[in-house]
Amino acid sequence: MDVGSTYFRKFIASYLAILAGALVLGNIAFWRASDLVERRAIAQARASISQAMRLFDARFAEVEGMALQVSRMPGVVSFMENRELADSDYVKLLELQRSMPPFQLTNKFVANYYVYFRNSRAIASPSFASARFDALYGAAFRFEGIDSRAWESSIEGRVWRGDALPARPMSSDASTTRIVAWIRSIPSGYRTSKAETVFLLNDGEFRAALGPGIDEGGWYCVQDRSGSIISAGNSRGPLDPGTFSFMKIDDAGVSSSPLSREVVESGRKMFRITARSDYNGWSYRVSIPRSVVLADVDSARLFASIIVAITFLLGLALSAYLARRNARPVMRLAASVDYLTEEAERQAPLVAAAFLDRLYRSGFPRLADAESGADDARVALPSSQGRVATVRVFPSEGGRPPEAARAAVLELASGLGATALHPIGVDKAAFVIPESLDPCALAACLVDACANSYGVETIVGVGGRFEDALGIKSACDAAWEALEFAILSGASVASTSDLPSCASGYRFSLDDESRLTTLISMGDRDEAGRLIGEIRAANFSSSDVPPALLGELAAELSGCVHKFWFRASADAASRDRAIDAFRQRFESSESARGRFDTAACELLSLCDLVASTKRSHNEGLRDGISAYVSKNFADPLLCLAKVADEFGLSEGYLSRFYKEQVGISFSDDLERIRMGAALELLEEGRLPIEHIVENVGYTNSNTFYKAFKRCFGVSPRAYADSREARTTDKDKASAARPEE
Amino acid sequence: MMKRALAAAVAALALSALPAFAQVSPAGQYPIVKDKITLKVFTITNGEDLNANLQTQWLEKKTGIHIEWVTSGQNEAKDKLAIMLASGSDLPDIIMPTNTAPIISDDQIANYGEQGIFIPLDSLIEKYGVNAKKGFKDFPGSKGQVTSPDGHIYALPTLADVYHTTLPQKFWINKVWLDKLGLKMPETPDELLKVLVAFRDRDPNGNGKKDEIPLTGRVNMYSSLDNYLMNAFQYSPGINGDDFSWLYLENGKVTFAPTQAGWREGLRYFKRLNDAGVLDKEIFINQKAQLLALTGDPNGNRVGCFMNLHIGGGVDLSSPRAQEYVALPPLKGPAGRVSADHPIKYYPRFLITKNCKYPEIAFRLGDAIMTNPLSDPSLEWITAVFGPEGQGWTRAKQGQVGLDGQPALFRDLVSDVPNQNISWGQRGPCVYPDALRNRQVADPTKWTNEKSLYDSTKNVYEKYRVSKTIPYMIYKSEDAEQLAEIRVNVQNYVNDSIAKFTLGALDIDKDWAKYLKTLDDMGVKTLVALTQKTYDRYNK
Repeated sequence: MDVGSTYFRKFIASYLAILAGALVLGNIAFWRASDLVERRAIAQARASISQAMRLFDARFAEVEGMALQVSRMPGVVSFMENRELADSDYVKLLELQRSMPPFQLTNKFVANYYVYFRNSRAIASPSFASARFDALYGAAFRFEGIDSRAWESSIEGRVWRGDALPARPMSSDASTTRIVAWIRSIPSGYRTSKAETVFLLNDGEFRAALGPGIDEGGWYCVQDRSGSIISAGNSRGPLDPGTFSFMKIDDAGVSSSPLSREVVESGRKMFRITARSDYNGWSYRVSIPRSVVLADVDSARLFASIIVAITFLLGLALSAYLARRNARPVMRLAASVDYLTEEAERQAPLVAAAFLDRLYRSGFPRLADAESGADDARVALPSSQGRVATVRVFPSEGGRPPEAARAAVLELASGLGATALHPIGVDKAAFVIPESLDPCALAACLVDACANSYGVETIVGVGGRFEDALGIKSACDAAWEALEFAILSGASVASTSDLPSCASGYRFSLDDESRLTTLISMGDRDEAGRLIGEIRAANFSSSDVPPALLGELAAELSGCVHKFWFRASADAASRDRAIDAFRQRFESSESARGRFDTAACELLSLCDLVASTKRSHNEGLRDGISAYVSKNFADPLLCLAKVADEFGLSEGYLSRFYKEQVGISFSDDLERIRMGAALELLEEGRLPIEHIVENVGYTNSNTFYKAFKRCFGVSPRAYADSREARTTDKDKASAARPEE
Repeated sequence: MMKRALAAAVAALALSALPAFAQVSPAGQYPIVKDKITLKVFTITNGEDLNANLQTQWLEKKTGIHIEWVTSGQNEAKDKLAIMLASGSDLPDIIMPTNTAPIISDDQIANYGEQGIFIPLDSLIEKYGVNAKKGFKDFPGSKGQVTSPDGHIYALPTLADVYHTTLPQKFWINKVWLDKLGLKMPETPDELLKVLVAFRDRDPNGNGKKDEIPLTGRVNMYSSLDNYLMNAFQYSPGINGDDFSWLYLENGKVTFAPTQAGWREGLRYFKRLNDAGVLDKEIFINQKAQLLALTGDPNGNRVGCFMNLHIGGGVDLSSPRAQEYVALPPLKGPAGRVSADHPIKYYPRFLITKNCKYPEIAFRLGDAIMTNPLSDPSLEWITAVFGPEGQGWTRAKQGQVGLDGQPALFRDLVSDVPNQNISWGQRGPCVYPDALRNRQVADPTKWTNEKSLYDSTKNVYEKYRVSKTIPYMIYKSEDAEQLAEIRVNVQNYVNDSIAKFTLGALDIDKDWAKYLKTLDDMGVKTLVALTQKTYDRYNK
């Protein structure tokens, strides 16, 4: 398919339309999907934050429970009152350490815990105990940037009721972890405090519960009930709660059931989900960028787009391939037409040569034949009168070969105005000199030119004048005679008029005779009459033919009658009777003219006889064929070829014969017969249409329906229905009659 | 034709199923296998990639054995191994439990060995164990430590006699303070008390504050009062999580030190120290971190004396204060001058499971690691201890001297720079005799912990070595269970009692009988009897 062609443009246009449609549908699907995903993601985030909150509620409950347990331990209660430690107090401290409940049984939320006694500045935990707070703080645990004094005062500054200090890095041994310190004073519920339970909580646990899914740009934060930020972080890691801030939005209605809002933070759309614990009033916030939520949809869209693109590309490739494949027979056909044309072109000179050969050497019986022959051979038939000239070439020794010499001569002749040039044999040729040219001058000119230009000796004979194409043959014969004469007389050009006059001859050439015989055998009375008229005119109108010879002419003509009878296939008796009758009539005439006319009349009547015989033969043949067809029309294989085969005729002849004798073509007639039969069967109404189709010689019901419609203007079904209706009416009528 | 092909295929299959017999090279020859095979080895990691470990790669090249590691972190290793062994399926070929924190006890090994989970190595040792046999000969007692009550050996041990740990009860005294105050090294408990009082009162750290702590210690690592100080009154092997805490042999009889009369005298002395105000009252709860905080106090070192296996147990070794301390020879008390000997534990390091398809090859691998580096002049097998030459260790230069003053053989490149993934960190059953340890390059002018440990052990404590200790033994599993329960209770009670007697919460005269009664109720007799029974079997 050419890129510029209409077909291509149309194809591309429809292709793009489908593509655009697919993309529009795809986008609609994407928007719906993203909406769905968005809602689902928010629901999921709400669920997970809710879950995280419940988790921390449970953990804080554990911590509170443990703090309560620790604060009620007798060792703790008694140790609270100590200011100066006695020796026995160190034993107590040892026992206290050993009795502190373990904390790491269930989870890693609690990194450690200890009790800090304000009076003695001693601390006790399951893993360490000391009255030397300064030394212990530096060695066992230390918040970065806070010395033991600052840490003590930050604890001692107030009474704690399960409040927390924001996450900060704490070093212990060799490692550093971020710790949220959760503190409760002992005894609880008083305005003063004597000791604190300090739980060191792993900040990483907040991150583990809230961090997943926040990704680039997102953050989480945990606030205690007073609103201070305890823990915060983003996708890269924890953030310092002291410096972390976020855009405040209306928190009204936030409760343990998480609330989600869409917020724009530094130009980005975010989903902010907030939940506040009913248990301790802490709130948990997560801010997730919308782009993160929709990342899945985007990747799904990308995937779908790739699939669509691949599908369309494949479709394009496939359609191109199919178009090419389906166009192949058409291409082949075009190629073979080209081949045939070429072949015809190649054959044309041969056809022309064959036509000219016949024209010059044997002639055509009728002008129409000559004309159609000229048409086929694509040769211009000399339309008007002219003369025929023949030429013989005598190549010089060592010169060009005769064919070449002859070709050169013909070329020259063509240049001089000759037409219908035709080579005959190796060294001879014939051509027509139009009436407008002087034949002898042209011939002389040709001879000279040949001699001068090619050094080829030529001798030309100029024949008699012809009136139409049918006369060319005799004109040619005359030209040959003139050529023979020229050779004999040593001239280079001779004309029929140069031949010694044959006054003693009548004019009834062999050619005329054979033509006449042919015409009679064909039964062509008109043409035969015309020919006889011509012969009569040629011999009897002028006085140059002696009367004796005219008698002979008549005799010769009568010979034609005899010849006919002997050739005709009649029985000997009727032949002899006919010949005797003719003889009597012929001899009854005295004059040559009378005898000629009698013979002429006899010949014309013979023409009639032939014609009538022929006609009866044709009628018989036609009746035979019709009977055959009527008998065999139900055979689906019945066709022209089969009939032609049956009757020993060629298909072409049969086709013409049928048309001539019956008036319509074989196929039309066959269809007519079959439809008639079908109509009858339909009328009978016994067979379903499908069976009728087979019964009248059709294999394809579609063809049958079409033919029926063509013949009767209605479809067989409609016809059958109407017949039904008619029959029913009739039945009704007949049924009704008795009641009348 | 078909039959012949089938026969060939069957033969090939049969061969492939038994490659171990076909491939393993004769004892002592390398590579162990020509065609590389893979063995799965379970061990503990601190997160390092043992596939990239240089010692792994060296061993693979040397032996032709590729190791596929199955690792676990230190914390969950014990549980993971227990689950693995209890299920008995999906076992690796080899288990290498490290000794930094033993994840399987001897009696567990014996138990699993009897169940057939670990295969007995006796016949393999006989056939292939050139190095194992030599090691058991070179390290007397080592074979006994790995021989299970059923008479089989299931584990190849590491053979490293860390010399200084054979006399672990050391007392470190601040020589700078002594010199500053013009005091002599004390020789008796009374002299020590005088020195401590001087430390308390005369501001030896010179910061103008009375913040000195004359004597302290901490829990574990031979840091408590019942170690060095108790030995002046009562022979005590101390307690270090061992099976024979405070148990020792008196003329072949297992004896429990805390119930002896000498122990009571020791307690009296401790009380005196406390009453004199020279004993750190937190000595019973101190952790290493607290000692480091006291010796590292920015206002001046606060500690006069402390007890520990080594100086690093109380002072930051990178601080110059570490060099202020010297070892105090055993005090001359009622029990004489005694430094209690401690037996060497040859930890099981190499166990082959029933799942191993190539027990011969696996054993050859363990036996190869057991090569004594000194048995080969090329020293090639130092690699089994420190990793490949060049990265883990180098040869000593001419003229360099070792810890013991002899010409040095090698320099250790990894121990001071941990986590380099060069060596296995002595994971395997390697052999590291003191004869080699003491030949590592030592700078005579530079203070190193290793050198001070060697010197103090050799020069200060060696001549007072008294060996009454019970060797490491493998208990029958039912005995082990019973003993474990008694030990926990007894250890806690004795430790608390030391604290209470010392701090005056219990009265040494009034409460002593009650103390003995409690211990008796706790099953000290059973403890002694079962240990005696096991020792008698062990001694046979």
